[in-house]
Amino acid sequence: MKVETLELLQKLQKKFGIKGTPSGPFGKIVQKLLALSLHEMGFTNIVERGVQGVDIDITSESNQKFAFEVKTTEKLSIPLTPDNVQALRDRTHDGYQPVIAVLRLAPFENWILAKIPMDEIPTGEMLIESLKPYGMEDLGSQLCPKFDIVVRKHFKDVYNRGEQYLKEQLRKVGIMAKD
Amino acid sequence: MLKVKRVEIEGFRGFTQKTSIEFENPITLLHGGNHQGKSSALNAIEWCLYGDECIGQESGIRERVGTGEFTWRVVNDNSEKAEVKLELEGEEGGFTITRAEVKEKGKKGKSIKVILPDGTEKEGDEADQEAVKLLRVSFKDFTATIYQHQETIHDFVIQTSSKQSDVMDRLLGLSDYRNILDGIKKSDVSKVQKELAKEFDEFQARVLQAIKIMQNYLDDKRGKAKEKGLSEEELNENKLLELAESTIKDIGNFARLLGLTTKAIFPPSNWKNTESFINEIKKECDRLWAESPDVKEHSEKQKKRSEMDSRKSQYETQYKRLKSKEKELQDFEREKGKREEINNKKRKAVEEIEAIEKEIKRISSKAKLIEEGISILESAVPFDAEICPLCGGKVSNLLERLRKDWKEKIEAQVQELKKQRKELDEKKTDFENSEKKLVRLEEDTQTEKGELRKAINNISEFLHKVLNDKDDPAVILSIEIEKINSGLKEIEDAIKSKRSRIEDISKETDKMSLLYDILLLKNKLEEINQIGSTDEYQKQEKIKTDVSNLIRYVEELSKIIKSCMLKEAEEKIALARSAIDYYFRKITDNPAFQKLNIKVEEDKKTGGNFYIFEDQDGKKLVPILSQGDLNSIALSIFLGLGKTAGDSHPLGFILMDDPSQSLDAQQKTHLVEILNELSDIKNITVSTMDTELQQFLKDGITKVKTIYKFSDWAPDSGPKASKEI
Repeated sequence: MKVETLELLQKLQKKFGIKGTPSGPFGKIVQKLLALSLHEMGFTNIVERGVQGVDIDITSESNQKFAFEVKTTEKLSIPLTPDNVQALRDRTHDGYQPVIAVLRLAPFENWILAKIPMDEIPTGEMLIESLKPYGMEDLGSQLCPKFDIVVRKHFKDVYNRGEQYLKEQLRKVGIMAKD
Repeated sequence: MLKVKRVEIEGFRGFTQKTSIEFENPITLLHGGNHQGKSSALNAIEWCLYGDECIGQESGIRERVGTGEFTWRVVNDNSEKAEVKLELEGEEGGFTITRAEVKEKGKKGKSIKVILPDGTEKEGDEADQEAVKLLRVSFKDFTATIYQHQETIHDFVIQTSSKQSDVMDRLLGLSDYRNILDGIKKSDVSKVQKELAKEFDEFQARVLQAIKIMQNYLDDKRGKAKEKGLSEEELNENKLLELAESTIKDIGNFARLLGLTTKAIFPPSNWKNTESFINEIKKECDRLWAESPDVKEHSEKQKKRSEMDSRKSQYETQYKRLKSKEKELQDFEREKGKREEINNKKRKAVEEIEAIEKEIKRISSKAKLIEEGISILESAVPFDAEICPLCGGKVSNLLERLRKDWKEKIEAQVQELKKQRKELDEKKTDFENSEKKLVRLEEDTQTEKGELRKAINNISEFLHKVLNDKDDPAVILSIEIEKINSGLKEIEDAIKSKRSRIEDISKETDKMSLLYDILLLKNKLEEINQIGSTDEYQKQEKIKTDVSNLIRYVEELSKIIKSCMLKEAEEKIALARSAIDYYFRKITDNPAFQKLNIKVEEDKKTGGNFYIFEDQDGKKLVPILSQGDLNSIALSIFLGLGKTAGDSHPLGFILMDDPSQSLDAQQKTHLVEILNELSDIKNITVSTMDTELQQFLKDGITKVKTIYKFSDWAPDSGPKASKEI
């Protein structure tokens, strides 16, 4: 993630986020920006959920299905609740591979897309570093520049109109946004 | 099957002197009180077979883990050397293993010798290899199935259920797995990972701080750029270069407006050269401005005005000085008079002084004459003359009286004259001083007049105009200055519009300067972005990833170990299940316990094995079992494993150290019955201090037995092992 992207996200966090809470409007905003970035990457059948269940479902060109649990934090670890893990497990029944997508708001950090076997996903605090061995590096390296562009492109409108603007954008590009 | 035939012990632990114990019968009983050397005798067999393997953490035996003064010492405190010679007898013939250790000699002091059935002797590593081939059972399995240690029963009986699982692992020969898991836990690789992540986080926090400072500057510059009419989209290099091109054109137009030519200025090749370009533009602007005819004229007129101001000021100052001096002269003359007047007064004073001098001289001469006359009279009259020669009257003391009267009169006259002369002298001096001051004032006035003349001549020369005494140079200069001021105003009005062109150029260079600052800050931020791509950063990232991978591998390894540990426990228990169940029911002989079922599960907390003991109804037994029952379980497992493991190794003996710790009399009887049965297939050695068990063994074992009594242990002689007949 570029320094500029970090700066813009921090501005959004300052306006929409409550420091120290991963959820809340800022977390949902980042989740929606991620969904738009995944769309830019060519993923289809994208479903973005604002409330229950996993955060994002996507399908790749080669018909691989991934279910994303999205986490945004400034800390070194993320909390994984039993609900998070259960939501991922539920999606595996429909053929989705569980992915924990983490973005740490710090210089030089990038999205980590960790594809962890279901039986290895713990609950509780998980060190972000521990996710790296499971990281889908190719996907991650493709995602990061797209995410930089998406953030820059939508920043002003998101800043002025918040999550509602992104909901409209998701619908506009054909992403199913479920509240 | 290999069976122990005989052991010779010397200098080993409790043994000082050479002691020989024979195991020729199916049952060998070692009995005696505590600390009499019974356990040392069994330890000696184990040490002879396995050497250092049975010492320390790796042994899995708690009493052998200590260090320093708690070290499990092989060599007896009163001996220099420990030596154990073990004779084993099998179908192939007899083997002798001799292991020795010299005190404080380290590895060099340790030796092993094996004598094979054909008499071949092997020593050192070869002897070790022969021993391994011969035994075909690991030390862990040896402690699980052949040698029942005292502490195994003890721990199983008194510990909590989690510790019982630890004992179970030891009984099942799974201590290695547990040790590895403990080692992994202690190594705490995840701590390294956390520390690395924390250090990295601190570095990132410092970078973030630097970024924020730069971003604040950038926001400030962006705000200023907006004020100067630059849009967000224009804050880039193209706009800067575009401004540079247009500024060069503006400079050219400006030069033409001034009627001058400009030197060749080239736009910067990229934004990084902006500063030097802006300096060049500023210099050129200054040069053109300085060389502009209007500006030159303006400058000359300003210079002339300045000179006139200076001359006018000089004249006015000099004029004031002269007027001041003239007034001083006039005032003096008014007070003291003019020079002639003062001269006359002085001259009159001098004349008066001369007249007085004359009078004084005349009176002095007259006084002398009279004095002489009186002296003549005194000499001419021989008596006291009392008749005046002039008037003929009679006067007493006539001469004396004449002299006195005359003297007084003359002195008064002279005194008066001297007083007058003194006053005149003072007057004369006063007139002389006044005259001098007057002369000086007249000279000063003349000097000031001369200076004023010079100032006037200076003005006359500057204005190229003859000035006579009637002219007022100050007024003339004021008129001239006013004329220049008027000229200057005309020029200033003329160059004002030209000056605005320079200001326009300056505004453009200000914009460029601002754009340069913005691009510089953006570039610095981009440089920070690039830190993430540097080799050094990537190396650090790799280290973090490697550590994370290592943790993942270690976790996988732990899982595999746990899985192996669980499977092996399940397999061993499954193999020995019926034997264990049989022995347990036999020893306890409790109708409530119709079946002992042992289950193994993964301990959710530790990841190790957790053993559950259930009865026939699946009811958990541990909470309701007595210490005797727990002792029975431990014995049943040991004996069950020993029985079923019999086929996997050639050792045909069992060593039991204090097996009846918590058993009641009935349970001891049942244990003896089991040992009696087992002695059909294995030689059994039982070490005990329990006199009841000893009696039960003596009475209940139907096979031939050897009985040793251990007693009278002393530090310098060791135990007395007496064979009972």
